[in-house]
Amino acid sequence: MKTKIIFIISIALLIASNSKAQSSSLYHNMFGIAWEIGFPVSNNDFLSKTSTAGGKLEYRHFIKENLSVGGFLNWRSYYEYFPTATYENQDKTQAVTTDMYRYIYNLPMGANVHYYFKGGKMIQPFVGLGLGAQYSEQTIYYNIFLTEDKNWGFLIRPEAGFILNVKDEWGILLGGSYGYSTNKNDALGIKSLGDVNVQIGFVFRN
Amino acid sequence: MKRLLAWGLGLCCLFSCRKTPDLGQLTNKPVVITSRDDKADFTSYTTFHIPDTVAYISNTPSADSIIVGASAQVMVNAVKTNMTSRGYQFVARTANPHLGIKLTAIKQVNTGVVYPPGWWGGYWGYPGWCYWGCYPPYYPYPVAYSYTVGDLIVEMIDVKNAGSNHNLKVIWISDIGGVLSSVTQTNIDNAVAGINQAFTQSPYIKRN
Repeated sequence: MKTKIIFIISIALLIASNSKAQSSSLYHNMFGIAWEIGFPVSNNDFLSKTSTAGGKLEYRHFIKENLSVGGFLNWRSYYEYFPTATYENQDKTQAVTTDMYRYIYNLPMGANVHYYFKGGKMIQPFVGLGLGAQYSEQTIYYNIFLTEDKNWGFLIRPEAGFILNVKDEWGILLGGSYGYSTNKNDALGIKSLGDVNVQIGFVFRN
Repeated sequence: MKRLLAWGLGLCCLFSCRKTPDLGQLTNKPVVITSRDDKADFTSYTTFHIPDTVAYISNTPSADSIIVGASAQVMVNAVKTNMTSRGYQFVARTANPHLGIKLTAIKQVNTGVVYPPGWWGGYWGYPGWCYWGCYPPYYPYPVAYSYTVGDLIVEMIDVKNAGSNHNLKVIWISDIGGVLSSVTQTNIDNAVAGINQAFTQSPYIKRN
């Protein structure tokens, strides 16, 4: 996986080094699609394994040369296997022994705003903030059974990254974000959801 | 056109990139659930009795029966061994045991939930209850069952304090459930392993 990421970044830098200078002032709209790697940073008792099964779609509309507003829709699947163990309730009157898969599927969506720094000819750095909602499913699979809950939460998602300008019409997106949402699941002891994401993808603009 | 293609690709990813775990990696060993009455004092009992048969309930009522012979005996003996190792003495049904233990095998029956204080009609009429006067037990705590494929239920009933109104309270229950194998011996082995695990995760069941 690490090799794959280094390879993609190398190709991106190679393309960018041969490209001509771009400026955000040339654009009105930008569409993005990216692959995301997610690292859970909350509820690590429930699940802590890194996920490569995620991505995002986004739209940015430039209202100033260095400022855009838009919307985003992300998706991600987290899961982790837990070998056979015994789990007890708080007063130790009930216990269950099983192995299991724990699974979280997140669908964050909302509006975003991005500020762009002067980064030179090839690179366009930015910081952004997304606000919206997150739909989430938390599931435990054990034997032939499953325990599942679906919920919505308020989402805040700061992010930072840069765009490698390749052509007038498109570039390569590299960045990271932190997502925090208020999704709760009392049965599984989840009070909120949080993850850090690294993203690589493409932007198309006009 | 390029943008359209990109968004099309994105939407395809959105609906296709929902990755779920490979559930084939699960061991498929039965899930062992135990639940106890938190007011029960397990040290207050000294003797127990368990019939040498296992009740059998399925989706086909006409097939409901009891399991006898070696298959039943293996499961019954597993319970006896665990109870004896915890300090309880096995006695005949006629010797006024303090605890009654009952095994029930369930196959392909739908989900059910028991809420206290209730009478679980599912066992009405089953001859096994007549060991303690044909009165069904009740549960002092909520119990949920999944009978999707197969379960072995182990119930421990307080006969000592039943009183004249035959109040048969279930003070401990174990549900050993999961997918059944097509090989009977595998199911029996899983049931025995499940019974042992049920006692392992219930250290409070002890005479002293």
